Amino acid sequence: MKIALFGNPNTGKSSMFNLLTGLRQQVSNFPGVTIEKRIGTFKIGDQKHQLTDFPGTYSIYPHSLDEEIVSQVVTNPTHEDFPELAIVVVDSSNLERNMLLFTQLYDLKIPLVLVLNMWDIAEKNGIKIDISALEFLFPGTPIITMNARIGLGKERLFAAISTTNKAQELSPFYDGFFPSPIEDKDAQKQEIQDRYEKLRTILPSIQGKKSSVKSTFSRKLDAIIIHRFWGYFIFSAVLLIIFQFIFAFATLPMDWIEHLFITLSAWLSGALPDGVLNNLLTQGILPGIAGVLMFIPQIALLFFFIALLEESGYLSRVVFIMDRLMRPFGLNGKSIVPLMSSVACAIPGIMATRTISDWKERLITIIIAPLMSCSARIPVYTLLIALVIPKTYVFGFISLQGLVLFALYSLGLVAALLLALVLKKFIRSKNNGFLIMEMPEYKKPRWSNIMISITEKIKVFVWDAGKVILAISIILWVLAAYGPSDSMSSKIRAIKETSLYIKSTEPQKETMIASAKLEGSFIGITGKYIEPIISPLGYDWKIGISLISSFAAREVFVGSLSTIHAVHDENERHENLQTHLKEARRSDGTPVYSLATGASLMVFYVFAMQCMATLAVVKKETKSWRWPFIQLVIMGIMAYVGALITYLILT
Amino acid sequence: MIQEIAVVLLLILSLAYLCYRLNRKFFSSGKGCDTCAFSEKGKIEHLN
Repeated sequence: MKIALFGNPNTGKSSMFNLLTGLRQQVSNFPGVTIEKRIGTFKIGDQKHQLTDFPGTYSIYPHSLDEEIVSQVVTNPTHEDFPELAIVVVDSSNLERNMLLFTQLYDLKIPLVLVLNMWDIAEKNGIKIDISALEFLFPGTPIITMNARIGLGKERLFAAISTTNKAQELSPFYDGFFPSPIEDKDAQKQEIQDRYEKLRTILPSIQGKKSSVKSTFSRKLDAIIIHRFWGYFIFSAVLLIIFQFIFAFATLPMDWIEHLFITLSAWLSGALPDGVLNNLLTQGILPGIAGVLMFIPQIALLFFFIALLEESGYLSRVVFIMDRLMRPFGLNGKSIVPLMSSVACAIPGIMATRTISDWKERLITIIIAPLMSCSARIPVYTLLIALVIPKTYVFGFISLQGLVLFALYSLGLVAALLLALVLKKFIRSKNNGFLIMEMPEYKKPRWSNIMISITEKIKVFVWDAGKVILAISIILWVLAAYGPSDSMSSKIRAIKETSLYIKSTEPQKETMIASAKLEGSFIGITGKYIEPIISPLGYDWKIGISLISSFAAREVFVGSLSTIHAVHDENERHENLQTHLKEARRSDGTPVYSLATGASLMVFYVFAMQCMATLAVVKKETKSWRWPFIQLVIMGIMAYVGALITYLILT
Repeated sequence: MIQEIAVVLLLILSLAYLCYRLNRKFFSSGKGCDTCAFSEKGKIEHLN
C-alpha cells in the first residue's frame, strides 16, 4: 500500500519515517529540514507498505517549492504518488494550527490516520485532548497518540494502518470544499480563515488547554539564551568552547591515526617487492588516505557538539537569534536554516533554500551559503593552524589555536552577511519572507541520536571524500613520479653540477635529486606554470597543485599535499605531513609555511568555492550554469584578494 | 611488469571514476545529495 506522511513543519514526520522504515533520515527540531519527498518501505506482518515522507506544509496551498509537491500530489488522484492512505502527524500541543491541513486532507476524502505526536510534551504541559470527541468529529479516521521520537505508540499505528484502507463517504468538515486554483489567492485565504474559525469554535471543547504553555524552566532559560545581548554572547562563548575542545582533545587520536598509517606505509614498503606499485601505495595512496582519515576525531567532535546542541533544543534558539542578527543585512528569515545547515555541508544547505518562496531571496541565500565554513574546511584549517599558530594560551586558559579557528568561522559568517548586503543592491526583491518556528522545550539529549548523527556524518566524510581523494592521490602520484624524460634528466644534471650538491652529504644529495625529479615531473612543470599567479599570495607550486586538485573537494588539499611531499621523501623516512611541511623551504632557505603563508591560505579557504559538488547542486537548483559560474567568480576574487591582503599585512 | 600494469589499471580506474562523478554531479538528473545519510533501502527524489 502507498502511504504518505503529511503534517506541518517540525511535527516529527521524519522521526516517524525513521521509526517505521528503520532508515536514518536527518531529523531536526527546527522547520525546513525535509525539502524533498523521501521514500522507504516497511512491513506489517507479511504486508509490505511504501512510505513517502513529504515536506512539512501548513495547508495544501503552497507558498514555496517544497510545499508545492504536497499540493500537486493530494489534489490529483491520478498522480503517481497519490496515497492510498495518509498519516497526518500533528503536534499534540498545538492542535489549532496543525489541524487545518488535516481538515483539508479529510475533505479530499483521502483515507487518513491522525497521529497526535509528541503526546508526552502535551501531557507534561497539562494539555488534555478528548480523543473520543475528536473521533466523533472525524468519523472513520483512527486517532492515535504517539511519541515517534522514542517509538511509543508504534503498535497502535500499525493496527490503525491495517484497519484503515478504504475511502469512506463522510460528511465534509468544510461544506462545498473544492481545492481553490493555485492562482486564486483570495479564495484560498477565505477558505483558510473559515476553517480556522470553525476549529477555534470546536477545539476548546476537545482540548483542556488552548495552546502549548512552555515550562517555567524553559521560559526562564530562554530569557537569557535569546536575550538581545546575552544571547549572542552565550552563542559566541559556546562556539569558542567547542573549538577549544576540538584542539584540546582531537590531537591525540589524530596522532595515533597518523602514526598507524606511517607504520603501515613503512611496513608495506619493506614487505612488497620494490617497484612502481610499492611506490604508488606508500607514497601516493596511503599518505593521501591518511590525509583524510586523520581528521576523523575533529569531525566527530564537531558533530558531537552540533548534535548535542540540537538535541537539547539550543540550536532552535540559535536559529531565532541569528534571524534577528541577519535581518539588517536584508536576509530572509527563512535563510537562517539553510545557512546553519551549511556549517555541516553547503549541499543540504542549498537544497534547504527551497523553503524560501521568493526566488531572488532564495538566490542570494544560495550564493552566500558556501561562505559558511563547512566541515570539509576543518582538515585544512586545523592542519594550517597547527603548523603556523603557536600552542599558547590567551589569558592563561584560551587556546590561541582554538581562537583562530573561531575567528575563521566568524570571518565566513561576516563575509556571507556582507555579500548578502551587496547582492541585495543588484538582486532586488519585493517580498520579505519570515520564518515561523516554535521553540521546543529544553530536553536531555538522547545519546543514541547523537551517536547515530556522528557515525552517519563520519561515514559520509570518509566514504565520499575518501573515494575522490583515493582517485586524485593515484593521479597525482603518477603525475609526480613521471615526466618528460629530457625534463627530468636535465633537472637532475643541473642540480648535480651545483657546488651545493657536491658539498652535501649522501642523504642531502638524495633529497636534492628527489626535488629535481619532482620539479621535472608533469606535476612540477604544471606547478611552475601556475606559480606566477599564486606566488604573490606566498604559495609555492606544490601548494598551487594542491589548490587546483582541491577544486574536487576542499579536504583533498591535505591529501594532495601529503602525496606530493611523500613523493619528495626519497630517503623513505616516512615522516608525518606536519614534519614535511615544517621542513619545506623556498629557494632562499626560508620556510614555505610561515605565519603569513599559513594565514593567507586559511583566508583563501574561508572564501574560495573549492567544491565541485556544491557547484553541481547550485546548477541543479538554479537550473542554469550562470549562477554557479558567477558564484565561482565572486568567491574566487574574494579568496584571492583576501589571501593577498593577509599575506601583505603579515609580511 | 605486473606492478606497472597494476599502476596503469589503477590510473585508468581513477580517471574513469572522476569523469563518472563529474558527469553524475553536473549532467545527470538522478540522486544528487551525497551528504544525506541514506542507505540503499530508501531513495531521495528531487523536485524538478
